[in-house]
Amino acid sequence: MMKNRYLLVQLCISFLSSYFIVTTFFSGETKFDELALGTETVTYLAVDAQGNAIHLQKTDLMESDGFVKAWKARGSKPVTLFLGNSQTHSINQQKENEVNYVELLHKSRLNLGTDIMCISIPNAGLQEFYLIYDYWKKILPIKYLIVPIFMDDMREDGIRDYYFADLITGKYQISDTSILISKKINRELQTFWRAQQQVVQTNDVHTKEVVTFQELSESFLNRNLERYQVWANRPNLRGEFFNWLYKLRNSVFGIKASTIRRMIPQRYNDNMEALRAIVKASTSEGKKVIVYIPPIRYDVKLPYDSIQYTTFKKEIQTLADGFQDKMVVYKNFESIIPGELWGYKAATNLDAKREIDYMHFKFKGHQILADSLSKALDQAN
Amino acid sequence: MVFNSVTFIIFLTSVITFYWFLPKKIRMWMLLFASCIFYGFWRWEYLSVMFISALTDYFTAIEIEKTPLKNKKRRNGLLAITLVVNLGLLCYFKYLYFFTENANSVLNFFNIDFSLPLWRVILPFGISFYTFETISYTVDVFRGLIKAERSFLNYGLFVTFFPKLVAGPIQRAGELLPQLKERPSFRSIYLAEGLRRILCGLFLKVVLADNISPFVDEGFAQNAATFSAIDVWMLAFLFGFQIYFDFSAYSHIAVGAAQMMGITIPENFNYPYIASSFKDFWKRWHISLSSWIRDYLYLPLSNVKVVKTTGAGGIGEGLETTNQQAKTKGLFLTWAIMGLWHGANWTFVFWGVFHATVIFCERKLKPLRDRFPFFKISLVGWAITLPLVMLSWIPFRAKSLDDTFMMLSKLASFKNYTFYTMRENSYIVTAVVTLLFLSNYLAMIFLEDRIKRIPTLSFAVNCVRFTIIIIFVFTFLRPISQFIYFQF
Repeated sequence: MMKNRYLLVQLCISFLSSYFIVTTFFSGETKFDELALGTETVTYLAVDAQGNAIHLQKTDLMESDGFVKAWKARGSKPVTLFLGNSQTHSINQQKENEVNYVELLHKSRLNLGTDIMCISIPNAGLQEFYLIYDYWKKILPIKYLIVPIFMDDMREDGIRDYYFADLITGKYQISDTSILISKKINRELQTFWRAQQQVVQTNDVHTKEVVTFQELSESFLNRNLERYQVWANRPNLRGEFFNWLYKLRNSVFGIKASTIRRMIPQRYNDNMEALRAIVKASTSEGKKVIVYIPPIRYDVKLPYDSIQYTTFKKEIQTLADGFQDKMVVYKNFESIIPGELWGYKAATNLDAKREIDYMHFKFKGHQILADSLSKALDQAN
Repeated sequence: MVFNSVTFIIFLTSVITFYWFLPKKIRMWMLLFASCIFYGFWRWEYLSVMFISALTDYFTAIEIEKTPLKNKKRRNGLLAITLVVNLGLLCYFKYLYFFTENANSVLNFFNIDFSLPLWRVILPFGISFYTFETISYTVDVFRGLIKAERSFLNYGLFVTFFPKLVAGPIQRAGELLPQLKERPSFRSIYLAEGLRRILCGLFLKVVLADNISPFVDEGFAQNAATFSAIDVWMLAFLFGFQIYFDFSAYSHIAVGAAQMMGITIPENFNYPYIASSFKDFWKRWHISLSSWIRDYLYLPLSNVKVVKTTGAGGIGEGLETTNQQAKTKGLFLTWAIMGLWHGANWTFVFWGVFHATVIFCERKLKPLRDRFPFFKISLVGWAITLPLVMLSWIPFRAKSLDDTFMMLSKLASFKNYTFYTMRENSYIVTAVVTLLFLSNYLAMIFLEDRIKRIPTLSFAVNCVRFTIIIIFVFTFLRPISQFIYFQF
């Protein structure tokens, strides 16, 4: 045994200083959305003429209750469901009364018989889109589905628990389990449910799922500890730490917004499979789908490998062309927004001040995209 | 109960408090009761399995001791009861599904239209560990190395003692029983040392192992056919570190919890990834298992008489004189069993045979190695051993033997070294973890003693180090995943 006469004193000092550091320097709530977007870009969620939400940032049952009520109040029209990421819910250098393209589209098309509604979550991968679509098609009478397909988001994998907390609590599962990607998503939902219920993860196929005393006590203790600010703030601490690591990594390796983002084969394939599942499910149910390559800042060098980006676009187009009777409409809007309508974002590393924003544009850009999408909807009609 | 939970922290605090305040006799009962609660927090009904194993060995050991040495038949019969009951429990709970599944494959292969029903049986936590402990106890009594314990309270506590119950270190009765019976006087250093070890263990588990885990899980979930050689190396290293942090974390906490009661549990790890040969690796990795396997499997299988057993490896008579054939047979058989002990899957058997093969090659190449001084440098040995050890983790983690062979085959083609397929973070994390491990080891070798010579500096460095560890443990403490070795 290591002899250290002062070990207990050292540990006591360390416990006290840890408490001091955690409560003094990390007590505030960090808005990670703002960290990702920077100060120039603002999150804006579209509303209808009465100010009711037509745009959710997560599939949250508590929020969606009002979402559905407002849809009923507008006359329960067939829905055009819009799926999106931060480009959908962000406006660069927003001024007063400026709204996003979802709201512009909603207002312009409400009298044409469909109600535009949107779910957008930051960096949403197509596996998350598939889950969102699977959930909402059971609640709303979807007529059209609009899916922007971002090359960036093809690098994302799986689903994120915090955007689907209520679905996880409700043990939601995608009903069509004939495809591999549904099984993968269902497995992840189960895993998150187990984590949420403090059920210890196990890889052992021989171990049945049962709620044990361990889980009951852990759940009870955590619920009570959550009452204390210092304990409740732990997710923020983890977020802060990972955000710092992310910036450190970018600084060390010189990664910027303009750095080439390589395709990750397995993730790319899983996301393509999810896209195929969305399109197949919706067209087989008679819903028309608009898939589009979203706008990107085109007046500077793109942060993609040009061959991979071209292959990606071709693959989407081939997928859309494979369906008869214009059931799937493919559009490429990559270059419709001119360079001056884009802005900058906060640095993604520890030294630079700000960087080119390839994803989020100004209000005028939203107007251009809304017009283009409106025409695509006309074409699909 | 899992160590990485708030429940365990409260449980341990209560047990330690009672332990140091209660009188001796009551304290023993309290510890036995607490150990049962610890186990019952997972599934209380499986306490009965543990007690079947414990009671069998308790009575057979006493009977063996009572039986004169010349009555070999009765002694052997009693030992057989112990082995049948313990190995029977192990086979039923751990291998029933595996055996029936394989039997069905054989029947199918011979076109026999019959299949055995497949029963999925819940695997009781720690069964591989406590059955090994009870077996070793009876075998040691049989060999005349220790006396049979007459008090069931003491013996029950040896089996159920909660810090090492679920995933070791595998204890020998001769080492733990005397400590349980004799409580040392309270010293604050026990609490401080124990707490230090627990904090280190929690850091390794909740900060390192649990955060490496998503990268490993994502990697091994991929289609093995799409991997490049770089991916395979990366996954081998990453899982190698994950399992090391995870398992050594458990051992740190086990040792720390026992230390808080003034009880010494043998160390299970000693920087295994700086080993300069596979033989050296197994003196540093899961030491309690490798020494157990040596004392109760390898030496008997190699026709060597064991004259002393300890947690650090026993002493055998005639090891040097036994013939090579017996040693080689013992080596491969031991390792195949060792692999199967880890899990009911052919991948584990392959893992065991892989290790046996490398150790066999090391033995065969020893004369050659001795002729070239270059190979005697431990750095060269390390540079050869580390990648091979890491590669051996592939079958340990892969979903199937097919995946294992597919992944290993990727290493053979130069073309597979020209691309990579996973997210960049996976490679960065692997590199950082490897560098941190090595720098931590070098710091321990070259800096620690120098710092200790300056008391003020040592005091300050320790305070900073513990503060960082406490903040990280506080931030990341969540029972999101069990310890990997719980499934064995």
